Amino acid sequence: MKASAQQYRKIEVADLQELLHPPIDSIYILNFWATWCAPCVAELPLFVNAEMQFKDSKIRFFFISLDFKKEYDTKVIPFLLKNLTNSHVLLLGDSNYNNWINLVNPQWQGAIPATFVVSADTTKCKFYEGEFTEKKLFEFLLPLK
Amino acid sequence: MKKLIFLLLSFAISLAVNAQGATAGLKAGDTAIPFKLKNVDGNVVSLNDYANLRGVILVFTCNNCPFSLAYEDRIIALNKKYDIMGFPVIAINSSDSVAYPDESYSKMVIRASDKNFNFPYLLDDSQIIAKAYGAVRTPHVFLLQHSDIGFAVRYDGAIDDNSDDADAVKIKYVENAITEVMRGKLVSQPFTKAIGCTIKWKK
Repeated sequence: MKASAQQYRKIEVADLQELLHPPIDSIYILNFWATWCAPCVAELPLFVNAEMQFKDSKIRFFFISLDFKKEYDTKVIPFLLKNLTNSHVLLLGDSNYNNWINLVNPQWQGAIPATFVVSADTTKCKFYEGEFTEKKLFEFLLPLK
Repeated sequence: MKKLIFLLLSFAISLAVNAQGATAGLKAGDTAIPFKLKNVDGNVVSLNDYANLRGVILVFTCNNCPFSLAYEDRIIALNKKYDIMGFPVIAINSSDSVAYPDESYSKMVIRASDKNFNFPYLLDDSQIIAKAYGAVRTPHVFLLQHSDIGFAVRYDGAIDDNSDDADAVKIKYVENAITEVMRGKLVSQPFTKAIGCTIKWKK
């Protein structure tokens, strides 16, 4: 088992811009979550499972944590090491939310969990605000395959 | 009965508007929807009870969301500062207490007492008021100003620009909006977004 230290990194809004414009032929799934958000934590295992199923596809999953910076060491990183060992986790600590929520999607009101499909092929782009059930997540991801 | 009909009618109108708009709920310029909800002291509080005041800082919040907790002291401070200027705070909890027992009425009573809330903390058990206003997360503020046609929404969004650290706040959205309203100006930033806990809707 490899150390999972590289599995998470801290990002800024500028990095978010990059994530919102994936290379042609790639599809990014951006899941905004936080350890303090119970419905977010509840749906994470569904995503981890889906990520394994889509392993050999063009789809990449990114889990963007909106946790409070002061809880990174005490709460967030221990949670990642236990629950998201093989996933790409990005820690976005910019709490000036009004400055960047619309960059992600003007229709997003800021509630989490929120999940976005981004791609150069805009017909594939979509978003879902709220907690997924297994069935709903399957229906959401299947057309991307 | 008259009031109830008015409430239902207003609600129906707002739904009709929402069906066409990109985002649901009330926005700056809209007429506020009246409500009558049970307070933590057992009494019923109505928006119409405030009809002789200049306005109301309406805050959708809850007992247990870390963002609501991070803002509790700031909400208390808002009431302390603006109650005497005719803009008191009314807080509403619309979260589902069936799936989330920490959001129950009895826990609201405890929270209000522990934190010495200096404003009403109302239970929106049916979630009708949250849906009618278009409250989506907690805390979510609607600044209401009294006008000839009743209360009008002047601002909708976050309290300020830093949930993490009250001392690092640069822009106090709600305070700026109140200042502008009191000077008879249009609110220059009538709408902001923020991350927050989603209101726990009933399934």
